[in-house]
Amino acid sequence: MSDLIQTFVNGLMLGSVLALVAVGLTVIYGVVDIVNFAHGEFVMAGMYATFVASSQFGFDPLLAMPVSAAVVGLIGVLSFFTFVRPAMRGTLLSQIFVTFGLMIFMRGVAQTLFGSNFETIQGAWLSSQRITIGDIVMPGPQLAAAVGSLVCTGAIGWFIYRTTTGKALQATSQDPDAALMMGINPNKMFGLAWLIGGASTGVAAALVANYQPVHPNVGLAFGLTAFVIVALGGFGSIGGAFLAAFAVGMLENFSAFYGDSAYKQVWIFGLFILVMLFRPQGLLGRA
Amino acid sequence: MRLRKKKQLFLSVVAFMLFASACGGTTAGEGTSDTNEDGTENSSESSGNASGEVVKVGALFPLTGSVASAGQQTLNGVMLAEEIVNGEFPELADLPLAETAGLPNVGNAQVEVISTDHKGEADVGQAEAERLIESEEVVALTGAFNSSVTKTASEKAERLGIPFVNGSSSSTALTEDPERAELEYFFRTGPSDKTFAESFFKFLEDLEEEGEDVRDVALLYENTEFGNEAARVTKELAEEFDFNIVADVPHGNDVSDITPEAQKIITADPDIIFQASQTSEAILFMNAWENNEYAAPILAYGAGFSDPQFFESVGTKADFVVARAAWSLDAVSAKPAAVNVAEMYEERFDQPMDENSARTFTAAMTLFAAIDAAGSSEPDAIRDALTTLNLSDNEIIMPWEGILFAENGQNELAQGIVTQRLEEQYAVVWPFETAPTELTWPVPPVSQR
Repeated sequence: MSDLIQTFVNGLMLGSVLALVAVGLTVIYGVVDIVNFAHGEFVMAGMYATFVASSQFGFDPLLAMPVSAAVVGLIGVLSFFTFVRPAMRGTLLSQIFVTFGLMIFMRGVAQTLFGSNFETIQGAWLSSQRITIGDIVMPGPQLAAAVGSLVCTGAIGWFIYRTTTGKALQATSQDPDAALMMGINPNKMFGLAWLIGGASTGVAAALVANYQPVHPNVGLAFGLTAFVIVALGGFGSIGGAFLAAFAVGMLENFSAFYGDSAYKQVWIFGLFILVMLFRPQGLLGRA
Repeated sequence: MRLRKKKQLFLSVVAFMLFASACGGTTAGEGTSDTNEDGTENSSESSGNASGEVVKVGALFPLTGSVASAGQQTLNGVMLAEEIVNGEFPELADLPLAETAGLPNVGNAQVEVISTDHKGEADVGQAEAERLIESEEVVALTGAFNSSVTKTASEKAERLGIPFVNGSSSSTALTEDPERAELEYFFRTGPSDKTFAESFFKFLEDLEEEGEDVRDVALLYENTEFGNEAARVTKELAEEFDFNIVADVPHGNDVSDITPEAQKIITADPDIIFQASQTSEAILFMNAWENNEYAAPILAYGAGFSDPQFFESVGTKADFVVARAAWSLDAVSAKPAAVNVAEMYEERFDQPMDENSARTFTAAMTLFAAIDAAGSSEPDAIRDALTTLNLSDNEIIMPWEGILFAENGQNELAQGIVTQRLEEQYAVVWPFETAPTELTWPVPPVSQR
């Protein structure tokens, strides 16, 4: 019984973190209508920002969260205004290639600045904390990542669905031309979406950096999982991404614990194919 | 319409990402491979001899890419062997060819090592082997560290009839695969993973005799050729030695989460964990053991557990890890030549000799001894000399009984030693009777280290 509960708790913790990573991607995708190929590299940039704040300036990763959010948010805004906006006037293919190029560029920059070494944040306060209830163990770094992700995802949802600026974002997402006629500047909204997407990814990265080593290719696994979650949940849907992230977190933990761990990815992509076959718009996407 | 286009785009992106992750993304650092396009070839200086004859030998190693630092060490071992053979080193008189300059039976010919970078890529290694043989006219090859590259490069050498002496690749399949065992020009001086695993099981049996519970073992390994091969060999031997496998847990490479895999091990509660993981996952699991106050001892198959980056990341948490090795300075401290070679190595390259450089040094010295024994630089004569070569334990710097190749090209006298991480370095702890350092057992939980 305790195995079952432990697996469930692990699934919840993983799902929360994946939710925040995926929400950043879905916000950009939903509003700007561009797939950010470099999303995994945004996670990598946030982890390096946290690592530098911690190793050079002595910040605990928790305190480095705003730094990471600011750095990745800024990278998002800069990427939009320098690379993405010009490409939006081009063909679909050029839109794909511009963020794909950004992905390779960011890996190259990380490689040049930090080398290919694995960097780990030493002495994080959370790393020695844990909560134990009976046989159930919740390691501090993972628990904090889960709670932080839930709070942050909730805040983004509130901002987009409850504030005037959020409604302007939604309007731009639905029809940029009509939004322009209503006095909303679509370019500002696009920039804002990249800022929110980048900053939330930065928060997730700082939380993950508490327990995961950082290296130039660390974004690969996060990027791929985030893409699957966004497609599963429904294109551009925050609620859908949230739900899909928990589905993936649970499926990964239950399949690996109760089945052969070599096949845990097979279950996730199997679910992905099923959903695409029978509900191509995703769990909460609009048909 | 717009939504449909978006969906198509999105699915193509996911498909592309899957493709990209399947093709690339093995370990960090592959991007460095283009940093020295023109530095791939490095012909060492050779002063020549009276008759002016030079015997050219090719050396294939990963000098850029994710294992570049280990690759440089492996090349350094070969360069030191070249220097010793070409010069006069009476203090190393135990080693073949050290006392005299050059190869006495080949008209005192000098040896010239032509090194090349295969970047850790099997196809590059194969192409470079061909280039060295056809364009540089080398008479023999040594290398290649990565088992996958050793495989392709040695198969090319076989087709071209050039001997290939390997010292640093441990994949058992290289000499035990039925097709590979028939290769006539491939020789391996170092131990295979099977030999290493046998040392582990004999070590565990000795431990059991001292009253420790060690029969329930778990396998934790990456789902790659390296990990699967290590696991296959361990499973075979576990059956042979009558051990119980209580958990068999493969894990992905470059993954973001290993929680369920760690939970599986903890739930199975083994006495021992056999682990074959690269650096990134080795770090994640070590953190997981700490978070769960877990203490099962780890017997590690090199990889992440011999990477200095791993120790920098996890610090004292890695204390008491037990690892297999082919060489360690304290295991050969009774051999004056070995100690001298290790000192020379540190002097030349400004870093201590390690297991990898000792293994490639030995492979190169073996090859040079065979060329001299052949009395000719004809590849077929060298091959024949290798099949009958017999070096005693004093003539090598390794803690083995000597070098004598079996029919499949494997040195049947190679052995593994068992070391334990104590005070930030690996010390030999087994065989118990001869080990200079005492094993610490049982090991404390990771969180208390």
